[in-house]
Amino acid sequence: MRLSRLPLGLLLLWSFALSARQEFTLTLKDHLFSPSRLVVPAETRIKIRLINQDPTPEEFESFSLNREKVVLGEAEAVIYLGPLQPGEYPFFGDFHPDSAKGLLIALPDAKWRDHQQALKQKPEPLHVN
Amino acid sequence: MLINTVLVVTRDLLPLFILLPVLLQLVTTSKVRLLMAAMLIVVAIMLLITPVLSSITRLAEGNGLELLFILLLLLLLLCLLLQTTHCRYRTAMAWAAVILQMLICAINVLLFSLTSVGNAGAAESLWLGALLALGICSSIAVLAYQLLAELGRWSSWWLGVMLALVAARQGTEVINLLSQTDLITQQHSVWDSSDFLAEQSELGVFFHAWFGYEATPDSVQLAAWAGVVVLVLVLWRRQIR
Repeated sequence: MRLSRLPLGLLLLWSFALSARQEFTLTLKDHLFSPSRLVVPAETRIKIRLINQDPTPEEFESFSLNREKVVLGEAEAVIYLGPLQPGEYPFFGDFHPDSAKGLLIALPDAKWRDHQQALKQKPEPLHVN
Repeated sequence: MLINTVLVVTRDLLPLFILLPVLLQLVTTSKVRLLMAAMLIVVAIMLLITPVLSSITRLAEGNGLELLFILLLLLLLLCLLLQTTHCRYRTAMAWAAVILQMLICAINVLLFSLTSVGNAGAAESLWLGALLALGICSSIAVLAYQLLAELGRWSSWWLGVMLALVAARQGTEVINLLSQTDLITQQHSVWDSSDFLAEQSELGVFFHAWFGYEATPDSVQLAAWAGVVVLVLVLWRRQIR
């Protein structure tokens, strides 16, 4: 590869790495997270698309996940996570901490497969995209 | 709303009001005039940034703001590292550091202030809360300045240690943001001290703003923190010899 094409190659590689992640959606409306309990696989790189349907900004904050992400009103943002250890990770909206609260649950491989199976058998309520 | 405003604005402003006393100890020239000039420059930059802030946040899949903060924090770290050398532009770099930190704080406060748009009651709480937060942060800055001045009479090492801790905080913030934008991979946390000192507690927030305290740090954050502390202290030792 010619040296001049190296930045383009690196950019493509980075884009591929980003797109390879499993994606989950978290919606914010009336300062409430939906779903309030988001189940994700542990030991996997994931991304959460945070959709703010409120007209005002919100800050996704989680001390246990080491994440702090501002999303403007009626806008979207992506939060990259993982690989996470199995466990529970509380998160909240920093600008409305009384109402915007949620819990991210990272399941180990076997439990994650059971969870997926259970969702296929009983699709409602749908937590995972 | 009022209590939350005090908490959020205090947390956003604290890094500036902890950095300021350290740099004011290092700078010997007319401090008040330069501080006013720095504030005017930040106001001018904010007037330019505000109309395009929404576009900036949408860049790179919504990571534009993080990328901007990475750039500002790296420049800030560089300015702080130059304080440990006999660089000709040391004073200018100190004021550049103040401007960069002011800019980061101003963007964060501006984003929070947008929560009050279209809500008259919230706007009042915002102003009052911001004033209270400003008072709290100013008190901390005055105390820190006096403490550093007293300690400085005993040994110049105190200032070096304080500079190292403040610089290390910028280093861990950069690592956090790089991980957040997926430019480096998130690692498992090395320990969890949240039972001992929670990051959301008053002391946790203060320590985070001061030296980048994390209750669940990962190995890269720890390495960056220790690396910056050692680098600043080594350079400081060479400077005071």
